[in-house]
Amino acid sequence: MMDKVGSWLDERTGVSQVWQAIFKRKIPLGVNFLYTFGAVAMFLFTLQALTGIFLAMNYSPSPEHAYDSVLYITNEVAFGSIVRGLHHWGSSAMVVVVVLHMAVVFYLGTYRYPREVTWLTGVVLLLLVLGFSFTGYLLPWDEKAYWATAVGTNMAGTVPFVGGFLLALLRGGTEIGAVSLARFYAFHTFLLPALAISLMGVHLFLVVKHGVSVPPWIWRRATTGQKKTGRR
Amino acid sequence: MGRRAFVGYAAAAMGAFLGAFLATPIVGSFVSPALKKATPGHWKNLGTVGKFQIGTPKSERVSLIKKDGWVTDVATRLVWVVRLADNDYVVYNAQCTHLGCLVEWHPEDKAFKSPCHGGVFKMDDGIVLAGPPPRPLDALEHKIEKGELWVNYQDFRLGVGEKVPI
Repeated sequence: MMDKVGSWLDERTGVSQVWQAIFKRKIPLGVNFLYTFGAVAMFLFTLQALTGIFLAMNYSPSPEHAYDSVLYITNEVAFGSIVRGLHHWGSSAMVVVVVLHMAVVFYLGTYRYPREVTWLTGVVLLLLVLGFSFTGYLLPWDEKAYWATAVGTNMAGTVPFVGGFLLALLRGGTEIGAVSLARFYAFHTFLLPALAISLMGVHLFLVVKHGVSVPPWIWRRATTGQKKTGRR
Repeated sequence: MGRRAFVGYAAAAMGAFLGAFLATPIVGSFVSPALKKATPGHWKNLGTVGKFQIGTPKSERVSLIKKDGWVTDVATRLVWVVRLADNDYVVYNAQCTHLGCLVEWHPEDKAFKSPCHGGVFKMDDGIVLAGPPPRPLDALEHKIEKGELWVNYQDFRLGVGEKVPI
């Protein structure tokens, strides 16, 4: 039965090729845990998206209600403090993991031909992750959130020539208030996810297209003609 | 089972475990409001009994302090007080038991009628005379203390035959 449904679908969509390309592709000899940070980042993104969706169900992005709704999530919603905790710690882990991912790609030199575009989309994705962190920080609407955002947006205000414009654009006015909170919420939950998911699509397509890079230690061995050591 | 297949199954099992571990709080937070127990009624003073005339129902507003998620606010509800005899009262929750439209008193027919789908209820016991309501009007617990009528306001699930507090 499942086989029948599977082949009916596959004949019309070619889904098994996608499965093959993602999960059954060949990977080079000698890859190790350093090559897993991209997948970890993707797992964390999924976790952030899921916990974020369910946090949004009990959150109100308005100055009157934001803080109370966060307290409500933390103290009254069943498992609320766990879901919020996962989102909170997941956001920090996300920054750590994407920086590690970037460092590995940098030090192994895998950003080079033909993977430059993968690297470039990764750079933008890193900026998007920082954008998520910055906009999400305001949402609890406590003192720390407010003043951190005051400082952060003031930095934008110091940009030569366009600083004032940028500041007002981010805040939706001259002060941090109702409009800023609604804006940050919209950035955090609509704009940034849309951009991040689209770019992740490109990034992953390129990863699958080019395949995993051959690790330098394997490459070196291949080019210097060393015998295979027992270790790998 | 070969090594490759074993590692595949092991990875799938770990993924499933991790997924279930993370899904529990996420799904739990979503489902929990649906598992909440009914809130108890609110005892409300409807005023001195003198203002209720025998045989002429009178509507009264009750204001409830309701906790609605992270908002605590005043909610206004309506009841119908029917004085049947000197010391015999019925107090109805004004919501039609069909889908919750507020019933109105029609003196010409001596009946409560819903403006929405044609539900008609008898005055003295709330029994359905016509229309789709699945049960009589919801009579509320009440008492008289020092010449004042009190009602224990409570909402019930609508559209079903049984009177289930919510």
